[in-house]
Amino acid sequence: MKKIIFTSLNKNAGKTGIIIGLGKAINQKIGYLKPFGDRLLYRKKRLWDYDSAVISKIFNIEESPEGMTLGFDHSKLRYMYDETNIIEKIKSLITEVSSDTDVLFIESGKNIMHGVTVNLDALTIAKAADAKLIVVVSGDSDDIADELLYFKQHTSLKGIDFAGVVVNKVKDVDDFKMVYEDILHKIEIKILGIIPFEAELTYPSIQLISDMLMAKVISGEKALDQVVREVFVGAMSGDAAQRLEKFKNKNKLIITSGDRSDMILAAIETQCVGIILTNNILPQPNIIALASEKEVPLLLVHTDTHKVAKKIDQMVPLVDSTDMKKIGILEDSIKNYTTLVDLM
Amino acid sequence: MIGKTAVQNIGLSSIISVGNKSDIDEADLVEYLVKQDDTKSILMYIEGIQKGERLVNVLKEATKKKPIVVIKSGRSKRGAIAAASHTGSLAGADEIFDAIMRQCGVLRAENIQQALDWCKYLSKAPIPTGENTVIITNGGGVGVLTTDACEKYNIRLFDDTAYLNHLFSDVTHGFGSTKNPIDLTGEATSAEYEHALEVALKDKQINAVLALFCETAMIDANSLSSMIRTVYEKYKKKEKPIIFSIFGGEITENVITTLSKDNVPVFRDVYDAVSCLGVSYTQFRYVQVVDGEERVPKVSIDKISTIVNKALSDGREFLLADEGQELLNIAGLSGPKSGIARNIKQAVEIAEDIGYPVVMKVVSRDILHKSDVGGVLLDLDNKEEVLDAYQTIIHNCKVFKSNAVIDGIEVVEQVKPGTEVIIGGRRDKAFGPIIMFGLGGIYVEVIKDVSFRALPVSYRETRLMVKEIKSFPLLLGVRGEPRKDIEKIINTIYRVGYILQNCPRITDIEVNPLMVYEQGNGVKAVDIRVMLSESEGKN
Repeated sequence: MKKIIFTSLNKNAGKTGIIIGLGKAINQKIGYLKPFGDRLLYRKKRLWDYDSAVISKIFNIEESPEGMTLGFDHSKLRYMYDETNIIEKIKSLITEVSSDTDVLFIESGKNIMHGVTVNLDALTIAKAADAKLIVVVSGDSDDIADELLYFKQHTSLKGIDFAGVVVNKVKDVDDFKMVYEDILHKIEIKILGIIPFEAELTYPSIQLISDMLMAKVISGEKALDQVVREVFVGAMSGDAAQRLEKFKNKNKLIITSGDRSDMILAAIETQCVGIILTNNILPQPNIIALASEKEVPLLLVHTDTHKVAKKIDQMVPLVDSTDMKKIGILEDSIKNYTTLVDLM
Repeated sequence: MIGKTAVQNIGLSSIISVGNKSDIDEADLVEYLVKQDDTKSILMYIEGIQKGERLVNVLKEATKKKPIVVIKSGRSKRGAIAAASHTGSLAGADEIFDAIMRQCGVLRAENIQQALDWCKYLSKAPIPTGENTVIITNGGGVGVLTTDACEKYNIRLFDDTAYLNHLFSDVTHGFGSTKNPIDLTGEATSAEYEHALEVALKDKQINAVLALFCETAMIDANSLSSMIRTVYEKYKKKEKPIIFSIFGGEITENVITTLSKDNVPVFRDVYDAVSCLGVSYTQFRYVQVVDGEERVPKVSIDKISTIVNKALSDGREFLLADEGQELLNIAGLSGPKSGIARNIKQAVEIAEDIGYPVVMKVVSRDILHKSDVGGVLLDLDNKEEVLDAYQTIIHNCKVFKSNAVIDGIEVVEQVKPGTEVIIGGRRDKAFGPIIMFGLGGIYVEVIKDVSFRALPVSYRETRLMVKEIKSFPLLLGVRGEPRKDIEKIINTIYRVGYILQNCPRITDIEVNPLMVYEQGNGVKAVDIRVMLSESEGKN
């Protein structure tokens, strides 16, 4: 059984997406572990990692997502394990998961060093698991190059089977290659692929936004799988909004205070994919009834419009296990732009 | 007002208009008027109250000496209430005004005519000596209507049927009724009607009479006026209250106008008549009440002030969970077992010490509405669930506010279910410290079944607060359910009121929910929220 650990130099580089794409591309029986969880999902009084839950569903992994993660917080890990038995725990987890799988993907914490104080950082796990290490990088091209150079020059990879780097979400692949390919080649970093930025992957579903904002769903429960392509802050009157081109887009999400009846009504009439009602103010019952009739999700939140907009702006668009379109894009990206399949 | 009262022959000893900028307010005037012999009753029209705390104290005393009727405008207006606590959001300013006026023995009229009717009646009528009222009528339907009105205005009808039959069988026709209402029927002659009223007058067990008259062929309407006048004079002489309500044609209408001008209590509508007797009884009951010696709860205000001052010196205008718990302990109120964990190890230790299941709540000066941010997790049954809950709460709070100062995680015994009630106290802008009691639970905001009092409140009055809510039968136990520990509820309200009254820097206290168990098993304050202010007595 092959074991591969994916890590990144910065958080949200796209490790989970690459694992999903690769898993789909190789068509083998896969196992998955994320020892240090970072995307909490609290269900039925137990804590899961969101990525573990998604991957479990996509690949029909029998192992419960709850058992794929040792902890989410340093204090919990320190309380439960010491330096030695955490390594033993990792090894025993790998043994449990390994049976009946062709390949085991291990995903590190949010970045390469996360968890080092509790022996749960990527390099420690790689050694303990005797797994190939793949580093995923993304972001601004100059930053990527700086980080990789620093990584190569100042990180000891002794005893680690370092397979190479995947450069993810690159806005201009040709430009990146032209400027940096030679430099990276000279420092002997193996580039396993350069994946172009795909806008479609950045659009979150209403369900995801609702979960992240801990919103109360007032109406339109059945329409929560819709994708948000545009976010519109309804700070003007309903009439003024209707004159704006952006307001006419169908896949827009409106953020407005619950007492802005004119804005909410205008939004419902233009077929938005959802409305976030801020300040914990419920609209009039007739407006709620209309939204229910038209199956427009109304999401009630306590925070104000500014904070909601800021949170959505900073939100990481995670993949949903039912979003076949996005999963297809991830698979194609691995096949078309990387050599990862050859490692399998 | 002068014209109106002149038409109705109501004597005015004083008519005083207080401008907004006058330094004499309602309390000063009531204090003055209550000492004036030529003032029999006081009518106040109020738009707003400035120094409500003093007014309450003055009214409580004044109404024991003279009836005070009030009309307040702005019934429908919701007060500008801060929604920091349920106490503020569960009632508008008018509900609070209404409750406090009742507490002070003030009679609140719906409209000007009713207020004038009440004042006129209360100025002239004798005070009842007991609660046995009898309705004497020559019309069945109007008798039933009056019975309904008596229920509305809380008039207790004399119900000793055997005794009433003994008294009135001689004056009642065969198909009439000697049950209260005494129905003489339309067959009754003027003499029989008058005789029935004579019987009621002479009887010592009957304390008040509602005399209803419908114009019939059996009674000469022209003699009606003199008959009523004669009967009224006899009742007046014996100081027994009687009120007439009469129905008929032009002659009867003229009788009402004439007698009314002569200050004989005659009304067109039974509800007007009954309401007058009703307020007379309200006044009667208020004067009878003796609060007795007040209990002073063993609560160290000094210790509570120390907690409050520490929180204020930390720059907080609210108490943290552990401080609230300490306040409960000082107040002698029972809360669930709890402890504050500063790390995950302590959380497990506290949970194991308390015993499962437990509840975990964030303790943070930056997070007031803990549930809204995922800062409260319930029903945790074992160590693994506590570990997961700890990590989740920390994560949720950081997501809500990345720089939130988290003072710890409170691990609390999950109390067993009971009847949930809410007790709240706050400093009202008009009346100063007030206390609220009501049914709690998830429907509290919808049902709004609450009662209010201005502080200080007597132990007897606190008991009335509990009885006053519509859901009181739930506390008594319905459909075979056992009675709840009502005494412990009263004790808790009394203590919360005492703390608010004596700690001027506390602006709001809310015990929500207070879990009430069967009688003898006590209550548990599941959560307490305390808001503070740097300046004393600020609302």
